[in-house]
Amino acid sequence: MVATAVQDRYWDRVVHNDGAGARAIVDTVLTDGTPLDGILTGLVGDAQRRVGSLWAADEWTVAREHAATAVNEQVVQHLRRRIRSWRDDAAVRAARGTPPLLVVCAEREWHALPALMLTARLESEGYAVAYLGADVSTLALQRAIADHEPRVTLVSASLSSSLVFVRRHVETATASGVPVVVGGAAFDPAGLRARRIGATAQALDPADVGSLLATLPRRVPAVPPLRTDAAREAFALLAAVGPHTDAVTQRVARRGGPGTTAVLDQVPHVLGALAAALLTDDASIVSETRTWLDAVGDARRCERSTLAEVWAAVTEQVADYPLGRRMLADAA
Amino acid sequence: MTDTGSRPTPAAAPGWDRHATPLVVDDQALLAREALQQHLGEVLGAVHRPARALELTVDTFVDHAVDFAQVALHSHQGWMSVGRTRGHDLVGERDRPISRRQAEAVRDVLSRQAPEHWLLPPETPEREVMLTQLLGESPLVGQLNELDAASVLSLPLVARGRGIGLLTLARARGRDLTADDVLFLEDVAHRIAVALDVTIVVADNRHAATTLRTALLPPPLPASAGLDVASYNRVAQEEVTVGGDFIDLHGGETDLTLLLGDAVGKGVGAAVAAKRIRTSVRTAALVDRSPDRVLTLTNQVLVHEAESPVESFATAVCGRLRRQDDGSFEVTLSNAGHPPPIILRREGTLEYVESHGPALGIFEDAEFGRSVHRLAPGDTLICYTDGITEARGRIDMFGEDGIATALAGLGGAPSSAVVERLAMSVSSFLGPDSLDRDDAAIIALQPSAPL
Repeated sequence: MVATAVQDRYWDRVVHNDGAGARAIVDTVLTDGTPLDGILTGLVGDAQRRVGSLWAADEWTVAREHAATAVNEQVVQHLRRRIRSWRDDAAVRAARGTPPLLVVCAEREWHALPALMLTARLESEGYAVAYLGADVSTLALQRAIADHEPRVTLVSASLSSSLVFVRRHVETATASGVPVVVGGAAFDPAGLRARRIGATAQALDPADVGSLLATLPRRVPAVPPLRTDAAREAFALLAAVGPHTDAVTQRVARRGGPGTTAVLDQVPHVLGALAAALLTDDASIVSETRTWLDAVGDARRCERSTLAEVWAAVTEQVADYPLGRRMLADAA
Repeated sequence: MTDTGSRPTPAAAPGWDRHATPLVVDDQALLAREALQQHLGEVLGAVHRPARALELTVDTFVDHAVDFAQVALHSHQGWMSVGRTRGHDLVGERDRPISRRQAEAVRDVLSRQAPEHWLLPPETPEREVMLTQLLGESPLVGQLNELDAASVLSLPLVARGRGIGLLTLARARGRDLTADDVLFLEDVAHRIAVALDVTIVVADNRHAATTLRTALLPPPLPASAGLDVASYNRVAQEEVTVGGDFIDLHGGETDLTLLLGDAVGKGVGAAVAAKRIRTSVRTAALVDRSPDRVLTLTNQVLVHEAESPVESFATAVCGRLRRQDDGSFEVTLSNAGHPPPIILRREGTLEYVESHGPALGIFEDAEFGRSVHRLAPGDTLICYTDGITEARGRIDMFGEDGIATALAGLGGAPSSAVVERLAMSVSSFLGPDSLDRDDAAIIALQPSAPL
């Protein structure tokens, strides 16, 4: 593992938007023989956790969070270049000989770092990887599948509100027979959500992906369409997320007060999470989102009555969605 | 007609009976017909991927009608074939191309465009020879022998009056195909041929489009030691993956020419225009690096080449970035009717660089001015197209206010953070599934701190 002093020095470079300085530290640690895994979890992962908690605690703005994340991404891209330069020719040839792995984020999922870290890890294990990055549309995925003919598509999602978009990727990939492995903070450890959206498998940990790949079927059948009433509500809710967000914002914004804007910025995510809860029939997504939004509000000294007003306004918006209404009521 | 006398064809080989009669009537075999027809519809779901369409075809026949199925298909990439025997895995023949003898046998059946129902000889070397001729050197031969099949049915796949491939089916001994089965399968083969033909047409078109697209895409941005560069490009017509927005950065490490612009229209037509502008700018920059001169020359090329102003109209920002000894860059910018580039200072203030002349491709004698700026380490130059500012939300456009809001607090942040935050803000402003998209491009450049 990486010494705390090194972690702190790395963090200091991230805080100062110093990509070159951060890369220099990583190079030193690599030369000292620290394995890639240690750098990814000990430096990049550690720094990203600090970034996340500073935003949650309202000590950092979204802009600072983005800037720091960009430094971390630069470092992982740098590591990928280093990995490619180490890989001996035979390993690269062998990797090229097998169909590549396709790593993508769900559409509108902008948290690219977990997928990028997974890509670096898989490349260091000798796999050929096609990495498409954040916010991958279903059309882009379809084209990449035709271009690369991957043996498997790995879809990363950090936000539960991305689950409906992950489902679209599952439909796109399996329509071409390609197995889909999902992973990321959007999924529950028991694998319920992954199963409900029709994923071939779920990776609980990036380290598991290698062994998981060996167990996958070469081809999978296209997932059947989701025709449940809950799924219909989920898609309808998502289609109208803009007007619903506007209505919630209008009703709550006039209360003003600290933290209100920050909380209202999360309304599209809250509605997306409700759609995901409907799609996966997993009410825990709603309660998790509630707990999380409370924490966001509390850190910003948002009044609890304002938070209650947000949920009341959301409930008002889902008046026409009986199953969504029930799910909100259950989580209250 | 080709001379078939010098090579053994299925028809000429001893023991092959082209007109075998049904041996055993098996009503059980008819029960799966409905399921077969229903599942064959799924083949079209893989329309953009012929190899997968073949796998689905073979699986459907083996799951619902026969004990053995192989389909061979011809496209611009040559032959590909997939086969499967009940109880075994799919055998794809992509890594091992179809043999010449097999291709000849297939072609022979195709030229007659009629089904062939072959009686197989019992276990003799001849049986092996014939099966190899029909199926190639493949594990499928051994598998078919395990079935002890008495006959094999070859159905030509004919679409648009042309033989495009061959479907080969067999049942295990004792479950042989009846005359009625053959008629039915012939009918099914005709319909599956139309579906598979569509996949070939799509694949052939995709191949042509990919070749053109590759020629139209700009080269990747060069890595520069002293400059942190990030860019973003989203096309409106994702189906064709090219658009009219263009980004180019070229030159040495210390003296670079930057180009970002927007050719009129969307899709392939716009991409062709964009390619023409990029090429003109690269050529002009070889003669004179000054961006106002580069734009003046490019404008003349566009006006002269175009049949009408409608097809040559474009806006662009051209810049020359020269590295100074202290790590800062002297930036000379010339703006031809394009949304103003922004300099995001390290401490967070925004400066807009207004236009220096009209859009390109309209006035033959257009002149362009220029302005000079200093970019210190941590300052970021941001150029973008109107796909960003004119992104339409539910109520209004993203606009310069949207940009200012997105950039708040990002002074000194890495270029990738600036680009990503802008792209993300526009994306959430547009909302999911927005159909009203324009091409959008962003580039951000920031001198790195001297080491």
